[in-house]
Amino acid sequence: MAGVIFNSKGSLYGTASIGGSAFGGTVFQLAAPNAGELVWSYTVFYSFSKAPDGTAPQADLIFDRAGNLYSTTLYGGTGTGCGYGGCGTVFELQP
Amino acid sequence: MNRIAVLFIAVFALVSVASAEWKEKVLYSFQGIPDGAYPAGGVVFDQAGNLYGATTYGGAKDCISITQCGTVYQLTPPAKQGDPWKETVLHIFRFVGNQNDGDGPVGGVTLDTSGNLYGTTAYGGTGNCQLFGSRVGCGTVYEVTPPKKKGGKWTEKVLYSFQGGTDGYFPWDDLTWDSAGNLYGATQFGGGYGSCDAPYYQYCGTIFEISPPTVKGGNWKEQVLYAFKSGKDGAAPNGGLVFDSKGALYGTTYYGGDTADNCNGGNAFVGCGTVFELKPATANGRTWTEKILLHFKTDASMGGNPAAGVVFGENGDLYGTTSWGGQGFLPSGTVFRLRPINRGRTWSETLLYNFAADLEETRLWRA
Repeated sequence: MAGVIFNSKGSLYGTASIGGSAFGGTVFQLAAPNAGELVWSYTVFYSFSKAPDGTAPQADLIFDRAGNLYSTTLYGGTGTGCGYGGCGTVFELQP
Repeated sequence: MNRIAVLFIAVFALVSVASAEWKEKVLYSFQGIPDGAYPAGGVVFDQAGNLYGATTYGGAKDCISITQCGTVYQLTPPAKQGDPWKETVLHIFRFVGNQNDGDGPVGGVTLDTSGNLYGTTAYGGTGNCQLFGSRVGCGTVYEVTPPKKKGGKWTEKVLYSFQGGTDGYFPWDDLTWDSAGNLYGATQFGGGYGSCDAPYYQYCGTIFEISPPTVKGGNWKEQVLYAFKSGKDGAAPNGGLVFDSKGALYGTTYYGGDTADNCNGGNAFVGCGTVFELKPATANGRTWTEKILLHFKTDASMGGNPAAGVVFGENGDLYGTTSWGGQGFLPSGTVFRLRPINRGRTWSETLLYNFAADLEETRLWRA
């Protein structure tokens, strides 16, 4: 369900809930084009796998003052009360 | 065939995104009972650096599958860097034990300046909505208030119980503040127009406002600002609304836009979704004015079924995502921009990224 947010430099950050190199979803950046250019530049900052690092990020990201990103994953983590696949996580991403 | 395709994609993805990895750290892994399961939205910071959110499931141990319970939680950062964050459950939704409580948040929480938390639950409350023959409630707007004394208990209160008719039902996603202290959100169904998922559900969803009591101890008041009609109008609005500087609201609907279009609908849903604008009531009129800025189309080459709200960029452009569509081998979601032309008389869409372009099987997915 995730939308995108801007950083202070006008680049967009979002989550995709499946896919990525480890199939568990990604955190991506779309960097705004340089002056005179049109194409936004796509970079994956993190690819989720399965437990324990979280699976299926589905929510918007937020920044802290230091530029770290925070959000949740719907599944994954080390929780054992939800059967296979974990009960979800809150995660932090540091550049 | 699909499996094979996915394997190829993995290889491509590894090559194309090799650098730029950020360091990930799990701050908290939910266990289910009693701390919650399946986070319902993102997290928000308070001034002290604590994080708050809600989970859709978990919490109470006697939840049944239709009623999901869920929790509101706080994560406190460690005093010493590197130590674990601490989770505190602020509220466990207890629809099973208290049939008027909320049940099953499908969105996070939003803070006010006093540190109170506000959110919605899709089910629960006093409404008489039924699923599979059981009363599940029609959803709530809730408030969770910090303890008056340090170490005390947080208190939850249902501010409004949806009743399932013209007032909307099954609220969805995050709430949005205006500058006067009113909250705005969306319900998936209800409102009084359109058939949408009939006979199971009624009507095509609403945008609502909930206003604080004018006298101390009074009730919060709910008001539907707009009820979607489907057809050429939107249907099943997403929450996470945004205001522009003139007080107009902007958001998306997962369905609707044109009866000829069908992306990911099934049942009685039609249309590939919309981006809409709601202009506030003028001094003389009491109703808000809706305008569809964009509707996504059947081929979904420019995106389809937006599952999250939009944000403003510089110059009044709107940016959003779709959970469906895009161009290329495996269309699986887009990031788009809408630019106002001629002072917003029309809006022009540009695809900034589509998640099939680099054969990466990535999807902006709806819960």
